[in-house]
Amino acid sequence: MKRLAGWIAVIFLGIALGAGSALFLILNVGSVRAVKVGAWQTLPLTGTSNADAYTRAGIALSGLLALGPSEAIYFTAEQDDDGKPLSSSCDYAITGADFDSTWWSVTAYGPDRFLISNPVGRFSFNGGSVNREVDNSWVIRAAPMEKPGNWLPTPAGNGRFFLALRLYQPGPGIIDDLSRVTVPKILRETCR
Amino acid sequence: MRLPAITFPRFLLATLIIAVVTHFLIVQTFPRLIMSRAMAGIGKLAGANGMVAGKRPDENARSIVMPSPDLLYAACVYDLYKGPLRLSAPVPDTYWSLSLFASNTDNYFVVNNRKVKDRIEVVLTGLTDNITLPDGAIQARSPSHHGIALFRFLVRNNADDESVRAFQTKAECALLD
Repeated sequence: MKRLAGWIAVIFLGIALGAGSALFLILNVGSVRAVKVGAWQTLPLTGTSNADAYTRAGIALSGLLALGPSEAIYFTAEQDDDGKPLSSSCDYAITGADFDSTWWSVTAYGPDRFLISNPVGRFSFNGGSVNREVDNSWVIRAAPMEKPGNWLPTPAGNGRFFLALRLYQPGPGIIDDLSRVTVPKILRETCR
Repeated sequence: MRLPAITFPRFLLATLIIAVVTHFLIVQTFPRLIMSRAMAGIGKLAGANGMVAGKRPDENARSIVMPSPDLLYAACVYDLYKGPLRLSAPVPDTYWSLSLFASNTDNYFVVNNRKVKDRIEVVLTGLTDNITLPDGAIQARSPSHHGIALFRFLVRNNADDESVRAFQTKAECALLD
């Protein structure tokens, strides 16, 4: 009886170690496989049959039905340019210019990876909807309370959120070297 | 049958073998499990080989993570055991794409506004199926019998919503005649 209990314990321990290590690597695949540019990062093999098993599993969890890099590139940012986690307790200025792509968008998501409920029903800005500066650049203000200009609502309260930058039909220069993308800056302004 | 005694080397070896097998089973099956869940969710709305055209994603869109609020989607869960499929839609002159995803989540096919104008028609078959294509159709070969076909139509701003929706709602997914 003791031996049986011992072997059952071994089986449970093995399963726990195997499942725990698998989930840990799947959840953290970005820290190993991602290309990082400024505050943003992207998994270059997203959607492709060349993706290794960990990348495929990580993408399935965090961005199912993502397109391959020849069609779209997805950058995400969970931190500002100073490396501090994005939080609704602060307001942010996201500054950038057009990209070498057919179109682009910047979207805010809650920690559950879904769109954030807000009073004006705005979840993103794209190349067609953003208001531009005189030099064609743009500034998006991510904040929980309304801001003048391109206001991108973030969660009410002190919740965490993250940003996604989509580049659809990127130019060959971007596909060949993701680190050369001039990503938007994410600057923290006031905090409460 | 008498179980062997658990010595320390046996404990280490058995734990390691079980952990390694469990680890690789989970990593390999994880994408298929997530994809199965997504297919079940979409399939619940239109069944296999039926098209679902939803409204633009907002905070209530919670079936697939990270939906784009700038796109109108039309999705079809396909089942090639029932035969080849015809995926078709009139298409706008702005960005659109039709992408196909295998049951392991790989995006193995995509066609978009740069390649096709006015109307897209794709015949989806298995890897080795040979069929006579209808005029103007493109053949796509799926590495798995099940998967998801997904149309994306760009909505640049709210004013375009209705005009783009006219294309999205005409997207079709049906068995080839």
